[in-house]
Amino acid sequence: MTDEQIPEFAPFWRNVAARRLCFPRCEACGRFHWYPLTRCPHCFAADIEWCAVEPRGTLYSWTVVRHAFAATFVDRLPYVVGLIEFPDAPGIRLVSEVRTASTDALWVSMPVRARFVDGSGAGELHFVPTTPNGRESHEDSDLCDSSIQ
Amino acid sequence: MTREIAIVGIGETPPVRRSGRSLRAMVVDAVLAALDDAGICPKEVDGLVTDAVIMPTEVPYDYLAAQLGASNCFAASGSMGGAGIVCAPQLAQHAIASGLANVVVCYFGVDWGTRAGGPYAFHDLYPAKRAFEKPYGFNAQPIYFALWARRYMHDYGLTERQLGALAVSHRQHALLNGRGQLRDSLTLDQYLNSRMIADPLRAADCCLITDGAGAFVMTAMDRARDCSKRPVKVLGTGFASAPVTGDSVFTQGSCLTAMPGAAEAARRAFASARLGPKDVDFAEIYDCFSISCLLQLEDTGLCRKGEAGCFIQDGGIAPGGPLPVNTHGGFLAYSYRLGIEHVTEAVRQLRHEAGRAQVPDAEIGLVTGLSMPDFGVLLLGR
Repeated sequence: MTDEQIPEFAPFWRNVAARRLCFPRCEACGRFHWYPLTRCPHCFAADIEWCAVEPRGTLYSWTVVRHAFAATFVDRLPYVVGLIEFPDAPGIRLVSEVRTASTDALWVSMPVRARFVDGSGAGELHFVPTTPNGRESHEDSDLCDSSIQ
Repeated sequence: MTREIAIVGIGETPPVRRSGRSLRAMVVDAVLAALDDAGICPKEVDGLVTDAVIMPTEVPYDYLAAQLGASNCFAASGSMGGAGIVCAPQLAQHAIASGLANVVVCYFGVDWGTRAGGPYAFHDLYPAKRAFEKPYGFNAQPIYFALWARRYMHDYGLTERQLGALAVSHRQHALLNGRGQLRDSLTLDQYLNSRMIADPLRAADCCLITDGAGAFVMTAMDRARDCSKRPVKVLGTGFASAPVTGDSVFTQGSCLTAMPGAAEAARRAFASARLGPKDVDFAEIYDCFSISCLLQLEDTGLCRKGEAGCFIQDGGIAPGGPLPVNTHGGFLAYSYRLGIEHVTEAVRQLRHEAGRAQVPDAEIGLVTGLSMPDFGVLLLGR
């Protein structure tokens, strides 16, 4: 079975393609889990919905990767992988790329926001730092800003 | 129902990056060396124990039993890699106590120096990693643990110099051992000036890549006394696991500053041995990365939470320190065979056969094995 055929995985990227950030949430107990499972790991209910969250979060941690472990990443070094928490989805964290010109300026709990762009898979979603007042630190306002659907 | 057992023989192939040999051939060499060390005829083997993921397909029980001429063989597996190896004596103890086996061999090996993709390809077995992490270049163990190290630095004030002190200490032990993969010295300045892999982790914070195998032989204490070498007693074992998948254990735990299962596995091992952390003379800790070694020192109770960095910087785990750790150089400097070499080194220390790396008067050693989200702790005594 390829990853695309794992039914509980597919909605994530389908929502990203629609410029929404969604995570699995149990309809019975209302709690999130990640990665997707067929039953809620908190109350074992089978009804899982994909819930859209405000695509703004904070860095739980991050690393600047300076060695390519696969040939496809050689040209992208150095790149930043962040582990992001969302106020709307307590208890889970998302692995994603954080794009920034100043890797030295990253900090734990730094606010970041999603950028949805044309592409496929990981090419459709990454994150950028947000300034404390909530405005973007990058000139990317022409790109789509997501909102809860 | 338990019965006292001992480790009576150890064997390993010389650790190298690329052996040019098959994994099966290396495992057979290590097992025969361990049996020779014990003075036990291969045909006497009637129990085989290993991990449950890597060995059963690479070096199956029947292949090994055929090589040894071993009949009516009890065979059992636990966890994957480290936790399975370190808890092999737990399975052996039950098999021996219930009369299922008399002479049990634990074996393990890897050929990740030769095999395409090495340890990185191994994690392809996790579907959520392939779907959600690899596309972002979150595709190798050094990157996962870099996130842990960064967060620990933030929460507990760990410094790069303290991580460096851990790498330097491991290299000092490896030079005393002299048979490991790394044989050049490493100073703290050299460490601080070396290149980052995924910051804050440098090459010297990461385990080696190895081709090699190891094995150890276990039997009941009364039989052990007739073997060639001084028996090393299994004093206690502890296994624990967290209810989280291998996909998500690196990113979704309640915190990434403690090793899942480690505290509980240590509690169980110490309880079964009726010992405590203060009784341990040396430790062989699953040091896949400097940061994971540091966390385990705390989670097993050898250091208090948040204090391992200072303990390491003060020479606490170095040769001659109060708690020498990874007395062969560990995965960082000796070899990376997922922990079988940690067990064989602990046995060597407790026989007082560790040469220049010998911990004076070593009586009790602790060994840990990690296969996230599983954790194993083994207590051995002279």
